[in-house]
Amino acid sequence: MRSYGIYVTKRFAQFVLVVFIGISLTFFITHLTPIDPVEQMIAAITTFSQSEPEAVAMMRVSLRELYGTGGPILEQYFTYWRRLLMLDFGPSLSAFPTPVSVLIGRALPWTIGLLLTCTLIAWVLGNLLGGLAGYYRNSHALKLFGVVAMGFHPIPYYIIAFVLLIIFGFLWPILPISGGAAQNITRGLNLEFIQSVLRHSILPAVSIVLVTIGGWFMGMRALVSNIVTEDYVVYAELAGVPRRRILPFYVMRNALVPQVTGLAMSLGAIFNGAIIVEFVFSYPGLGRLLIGAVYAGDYGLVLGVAAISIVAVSAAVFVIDVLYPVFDPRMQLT
Amino acid sequence: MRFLKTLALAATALVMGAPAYAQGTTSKLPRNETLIVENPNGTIKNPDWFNIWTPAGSVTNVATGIHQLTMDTFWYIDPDYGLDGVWDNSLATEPPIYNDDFTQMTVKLRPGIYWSDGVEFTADDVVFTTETHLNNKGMTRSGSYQLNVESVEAPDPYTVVFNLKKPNSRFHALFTVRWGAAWMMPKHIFEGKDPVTYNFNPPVSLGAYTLHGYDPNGQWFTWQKRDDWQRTTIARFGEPGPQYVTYVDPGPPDKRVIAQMNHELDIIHDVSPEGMFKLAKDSPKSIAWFKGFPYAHPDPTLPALIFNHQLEKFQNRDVRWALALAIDIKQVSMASYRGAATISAIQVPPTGTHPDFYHFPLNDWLSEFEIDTGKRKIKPYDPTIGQQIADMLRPSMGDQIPTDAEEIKRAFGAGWWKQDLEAAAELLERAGFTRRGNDWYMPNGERFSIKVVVEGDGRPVMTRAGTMVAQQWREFGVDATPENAQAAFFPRRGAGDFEVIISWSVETWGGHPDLSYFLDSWHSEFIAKPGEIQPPRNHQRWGSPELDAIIEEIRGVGFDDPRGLELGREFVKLTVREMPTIPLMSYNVFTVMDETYWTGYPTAEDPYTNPVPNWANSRYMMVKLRPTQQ
Amino acid sequence: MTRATSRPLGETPVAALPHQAAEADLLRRNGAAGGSGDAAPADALRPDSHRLKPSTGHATTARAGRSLLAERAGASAGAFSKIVRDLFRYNREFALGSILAAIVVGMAILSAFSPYSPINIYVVAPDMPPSWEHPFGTNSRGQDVLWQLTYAIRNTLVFGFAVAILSRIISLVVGLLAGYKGGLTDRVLMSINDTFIVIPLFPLLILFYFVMRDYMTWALLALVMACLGWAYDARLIRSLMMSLKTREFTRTSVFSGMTTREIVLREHLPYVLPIVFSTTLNNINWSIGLEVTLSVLGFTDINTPTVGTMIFWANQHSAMVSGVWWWFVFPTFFITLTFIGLFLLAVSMNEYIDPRSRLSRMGGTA
Repeated sequence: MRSYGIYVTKRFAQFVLVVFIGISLTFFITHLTPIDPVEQMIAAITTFSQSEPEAVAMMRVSLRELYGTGGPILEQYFTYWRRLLMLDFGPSLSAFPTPVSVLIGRALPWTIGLLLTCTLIAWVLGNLLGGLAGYYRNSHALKLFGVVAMGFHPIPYYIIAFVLLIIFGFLWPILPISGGAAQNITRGLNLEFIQSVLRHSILPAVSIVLVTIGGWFMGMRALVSNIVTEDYVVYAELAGVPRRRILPFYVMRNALVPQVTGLAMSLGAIFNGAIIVEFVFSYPGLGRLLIGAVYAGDYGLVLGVAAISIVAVSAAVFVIDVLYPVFDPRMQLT
Repeated sequence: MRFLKTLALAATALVMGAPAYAQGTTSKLPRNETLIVENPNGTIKNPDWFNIWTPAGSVTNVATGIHQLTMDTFWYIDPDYGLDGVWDNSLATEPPIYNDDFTQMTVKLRPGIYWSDGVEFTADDVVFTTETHLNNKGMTRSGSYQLNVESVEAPDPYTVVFNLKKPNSRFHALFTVRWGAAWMMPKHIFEGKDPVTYNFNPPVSLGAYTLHGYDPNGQWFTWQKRDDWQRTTIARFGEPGPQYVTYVDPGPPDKRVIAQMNHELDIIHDVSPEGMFKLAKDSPKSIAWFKGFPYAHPDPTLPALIFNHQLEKFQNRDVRWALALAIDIKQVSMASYRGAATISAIQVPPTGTHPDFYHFPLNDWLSEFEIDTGKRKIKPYDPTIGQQIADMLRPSMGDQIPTDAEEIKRAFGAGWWKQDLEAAAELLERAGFTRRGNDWYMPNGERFSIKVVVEGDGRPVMTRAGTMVAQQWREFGVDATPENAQAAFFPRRGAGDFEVIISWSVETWGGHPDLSYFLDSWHSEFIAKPGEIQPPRNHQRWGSPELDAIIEEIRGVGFDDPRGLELGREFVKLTVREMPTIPLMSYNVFTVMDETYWTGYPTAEDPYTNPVPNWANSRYMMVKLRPTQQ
Repeated sequence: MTRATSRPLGETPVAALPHQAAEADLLRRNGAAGGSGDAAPADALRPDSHRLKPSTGHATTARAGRSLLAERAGASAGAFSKIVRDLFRYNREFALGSILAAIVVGMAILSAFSPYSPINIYVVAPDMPPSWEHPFGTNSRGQDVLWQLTYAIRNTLVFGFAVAILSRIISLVVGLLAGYKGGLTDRVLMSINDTFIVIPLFPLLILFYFVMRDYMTWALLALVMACLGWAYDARLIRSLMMSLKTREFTRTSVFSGMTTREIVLREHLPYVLPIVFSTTLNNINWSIGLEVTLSVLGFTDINTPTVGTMIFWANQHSAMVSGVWWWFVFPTFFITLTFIGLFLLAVSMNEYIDPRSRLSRMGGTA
């Protein structure tokens, strides 16, 4: 047990190190961007409105002062860490003075709601069907499902999403194609709002599940069909254990270890948002916030989203690594 | 398997369980009382920020309806012909009154105008607005106020006097709406608050509408007609039609088409030419500015190939002219707008009243205009190119193409420079360039290469135009490639970080012939050093003593002085000779309007205002719109 | 125990469906959907590799693997063509996979014979539906979709393979080294590795685009993506190595006096190679998916035709709603074809390489 404690401590140190390096790298890379938030803002303002050259120059000076974008990069770096350790992401530059955390807070529930649900649905369905397909290898229905999943997997996501959108939003318009919920209804815990949110999530959710389910299906099928040939399964079969007990308890349980790993990783990655889904379905999540921030040169916001994502993914990796020896005592602790 | 079935059943129940929303899924408001308009700014990051006077409020949080429906200021200039003439006295009762040397401007205010919370709008609000801008640096227009205004006073509740720091015959432009302007602030709301950090939520309105609701995620904003709409300036033209107006982010262009065909989006701000054709073909209730081809509303903005004059290779006029003559505008029109472009050979957009002031009167001068190629003199202008484009499109577009010559001139533009590769080659040779094979080399022996910077999917039509021009230059023997700058486009344009960029440095009032709107900033005193940021709009960084003389004279004459138009024409002739940028066409916006629920939209036949819905001028549309279904 | 080698290759029985552990990590990445939201497992340990099994099984497998490698090393060109012929005849997956791959490669090669330059527009009448003259129709930019697609397929394939091969090299080196050496080497390498895993890829690639501007050709993009796309698989290979290290046959080999190099190459590589093959396929799918995503949003070199830029331009011309379906259906069809072809090839190759799956087939338990 003591060696396990040492392992966890070492592993935690690595987690902290990775988060530190990750955020630092992202900080410097985002500051390399040639897109200056102040210039971007000035360009947007002056594109449509009359503007005297001297007035624009004055605006530039006062915006730089206000946003604090001047100063040496190292100084900004240390300021950033000081703020970050107090969980303050600072103000968004493109939506000044709204804090970055407020913007992220508004988008996060949608992203988590949609992606968490979809990831889980795809994972459960994919593994269930994959397990069955690996075990009952002669089922035609399952084989067909495998072929369909295979066919969907490489299709660019954009195409799948748009085809769904055209079918159910245009040719047979029964589902909403934009946004997270209907307009002008009371938001909160009421049936109307919940129903609206669910209806709005159907197309994005189906499209995500369609492209991701294939991966879990293939993986599980392969794992199961491999385990089926293992001696202990053969012994169990010879010993007369019923097949419906063998699949869940002898086969799937062992196959789940790598699949759970994969699930944890993809749950961590949720915090990046699903950029194309949100783009196609105008879904109010983190992905579009992130892209918008990159466009506006709003590195405060880019860093905010990136930092959350880095911590989430590293935490997922950390938890998996800590749990592995528990699952598999034969692993050497390093 | 059973799980799958359950899931499918549950999904179906969910879909079928709410049949009331099957059509018109977007809102619960009565559809026949609601006008749904595209907000081209998309989804707003900080929707609760209604403070339009700050930078964060004047970039994206503008076309949400707030500046179209709730803001007001002294005057409006219509980009087209206006409800009652181009000039509209809005909060003022008459045009600006300047003293003789343009150091003082007096404004007479309209009485009986009220904020939506019942407080009357008076000179106090104007004084407060002005002084707030004078005392705060962080507001969008602080610079304009601080540069010009020495002091402001209100002799009585309906008179305001601005004392200016230096003579400025165009000071009123600050308060004259062309897309937007300096808006009036409610003193009773902002008093005692920090105008830079106060979010102005809920907004108090000076227009006929007030906020009804908005999406905390910024996708839509709904405005409701004020009960006391009669106490606003727009009431002079009658009662606004829509009870509710919703500005919404409908997503990418394809989805806008779908939304309109589902009758869930009454006004599309802009869409691709192909999307426009699809709607014209398959959506019988959809209309656009022109009844037939080219449909789009020409905005008073002039996309052009902008040379960076601080690069040696573009400093010779012959080189710029050679590149202009290497272009076949018909192909550019096809590649960009599929022919639905309104071309312009001169540095004034062919829109609003400009063709009558500039393009048509100058036709003869242009036809006689000669350039010397070094070997011979040619007359490069071809007044029939608009006609040729129409003829080229007629076989595929049929009777959507107008036949009347006058109509064609307004829709497709008059003429342009005839593609003349031989003359172009002679001009380059005169400039000391040499040709090996088909490839051109510069006088210093280097290959003549040009990168044409385009904006990418932010402005697809211009991206296509740039791609076509690069191809034509390549065929002429220049090593030209388009370069997609995406979001870095504007910073690069400002920093002069380009060789040729396809953008605009010319924007005008549209309805009024005065060119000072953009021209004043072309004065050579404002040209930045290489590497430094150029203030808008002289992105080409071109200066000439002749131009400076014209600008200085315009500064000295009044806004409506006929001399202004003469000077404007002199500017056109100067830029034809010098070709500082290659003007292409007006910025045509495919604003598509659905007549299923509303009629009375502005069109070329009834050009009372600009239908493009992110213009504050589009507020005049509200009083003309009438519901089709009671 | 010598059954594996005593049987000629050609006698490998044909199974109904491919099934082996190497598939486990196939298709896990959902690059397109999640942007950088990859779902590849960090440590997809092969479950069989740490279950108790009779030790004879290990010995058998180890020897089978070793002799197989020896057999392959000694195979002459003639033997190679025989293997291919046998695979083709008896392995349906291999046959179908090769045909599909041949079609796709044929398309790519066709680009050399294109009558049009891929970057020129308005060379043919726009918006023509498929016909004899233009089998795949023409797009709204006045380009022939067939010829445009030949370039696109070529560039996309080269791109995908370039990313895959480069990132495979990095992940193999890092994974094998970290897994085998352990200790400090492992910790340092894995810290670097994890940093690459956690950094959000998508905003990074967009920022790279802004920084590199028009130098961001597809070749550079491939390099950047290879540098960013190795970490998951390195972790996979490392964990596989770690579990192989603890297994009995490794100890047996050590006791029998084999050098580290020999052990890694002879004993362990046969286990690692299937993973490498399947992750290669994964990686290709991931990189192509990400390229399409970047292109759709306009963050690649739009002058170079790839499947992604074809969709970009189709999108720019509202091809989806204006009914020019041939502009995006054919690229989609061919990218699916490419992927299925590669998948089938990888599956049949794995079967050929992985000694255990061959054993299991001969054992007849399946």
